[in-house]
Amino acid sequence: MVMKNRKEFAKCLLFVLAFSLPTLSWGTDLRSQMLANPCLSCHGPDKQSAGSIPPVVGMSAENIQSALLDFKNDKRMGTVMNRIAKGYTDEEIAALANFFTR
Amino acid sequence: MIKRRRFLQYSALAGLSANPGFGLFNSAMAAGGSARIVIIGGGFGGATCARYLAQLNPGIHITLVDRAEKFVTCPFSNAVIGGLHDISYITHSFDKLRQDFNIKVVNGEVRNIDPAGKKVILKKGKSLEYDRLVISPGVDFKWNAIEGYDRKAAQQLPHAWHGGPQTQLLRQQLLAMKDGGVVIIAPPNNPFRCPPGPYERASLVANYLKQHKPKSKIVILDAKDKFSKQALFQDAWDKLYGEMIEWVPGSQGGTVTRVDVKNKTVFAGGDKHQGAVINIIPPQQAGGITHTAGLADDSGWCPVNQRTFASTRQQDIYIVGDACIAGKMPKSGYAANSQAKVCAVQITASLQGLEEIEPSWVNTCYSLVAPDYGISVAAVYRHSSEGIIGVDGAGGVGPRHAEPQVRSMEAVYAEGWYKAIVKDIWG
Repeated sequence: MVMKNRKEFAKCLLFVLAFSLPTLSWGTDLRSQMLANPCLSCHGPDKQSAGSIPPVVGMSAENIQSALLDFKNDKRMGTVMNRIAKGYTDEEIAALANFFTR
Repeated sequence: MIKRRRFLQYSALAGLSANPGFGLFNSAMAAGGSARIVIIGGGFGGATCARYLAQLNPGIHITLVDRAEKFVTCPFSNAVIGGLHDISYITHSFDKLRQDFNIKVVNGEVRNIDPAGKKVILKKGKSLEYDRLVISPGVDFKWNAIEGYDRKAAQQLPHAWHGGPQTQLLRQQLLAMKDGGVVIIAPPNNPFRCPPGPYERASLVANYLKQHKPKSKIVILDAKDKFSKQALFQDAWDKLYGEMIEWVPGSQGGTVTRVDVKNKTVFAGGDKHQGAVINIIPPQQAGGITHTAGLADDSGWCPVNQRTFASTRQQDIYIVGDACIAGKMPKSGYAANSQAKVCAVQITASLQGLEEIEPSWVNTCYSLVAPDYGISVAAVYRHSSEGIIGVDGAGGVGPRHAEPQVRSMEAVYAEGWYKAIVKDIWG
């Protein structure tokens, strides 16, 4: 593809940014959404469980992250959460903590 | 102005599809745009997929088809059979999906699917056109796989493996039974819907009988030699119900091959067993419509791309829940819910012209052994070259030797699980 001049280049760049940025952010969003979706079944689609399961709403990202890491490393004893947290890498746990507090 | 030729060149640079139907315009609208999605089945798989697709794609057109006006869940139906909850507790309307998520809900039976014309044809003649079709039909029974056990027989010897009138029939038979009666529960071989379900049922029936008809007995005539959460169930049975529950494994005469409805007798491993109440859970296969549409294989279940749930047999059709072959995942309500969310994300990505998203699933399954005694199994799943597999080192059943508080907490969480997941699904 031939760029005739700077103006053309700028136009092209704008176009690329306009469409690729939202696309990229959608992709990133969908990745976090994918990881977090199964959590919502118990902890509530609005992060607030309808029943007795502890809600995530109101917790800070740091608290969620450290709780999940502690469950994963058996430093905090729960019922199912120790078994579930072990299924995620530390990076994924950080992404989940961000997702739940955005 | 950007001319069309340049536009296409720039689009290619931006990694966008030149097909105006997908990539570009949907990305520009940051949503699935005006795509038409039809979903068959309003249960754990179908209703979840509808809701999550609606949330991810404002403006999308979703039509959910179910034969009933309300959905009665199989999860927690054992609590209804055991008298802990009323049937209304497990009955959910589609009203919130209509009102809060703008999903069109159609009550009707599907006659067939036309994959070439991308249409779902309803029995009442109406047809629904789709861009993508998601089917979550649950299970159908293999009638007469056990000799004499057909639809008619199920009116006398309930399966109670679909929530609804069958659940109530089994409950009524237990209420009408005299003290000292024998309750027979006959689970099938794998794979089947809800692997721990028959054993939770035995537990909650025992809980009822212990209080109201303590001379009665439960015999589980099993086609298998082992079952889900077995050690946890058997420990709890010993502790809570003593001799009341007897489990007969398949290799020791448990496999039921014939029923005599009139004489309330079942035949298993050369023996005859009479029961005052007989609950036959027959062998299963994917829900009916998948067979007429050519979506199921010789196993009776539907092969899918295990990253997306797209049928490997028909284009633009996805199958989630009990009916699909989903690697190591069990056929459970939570699994169906988790699969439906993966499917919704992948359909969204595809409508956006994005690459598939790396999938991730969870299954969390509680069983009540008594109102204050719960046990659980959990797993986190990822996709590998062998399909869907559990993450090593994660998941599994709860500890065998646990403090009573752990069991009572798990009973509390089992109730919480149900309340939460039905809200996640039906709003």
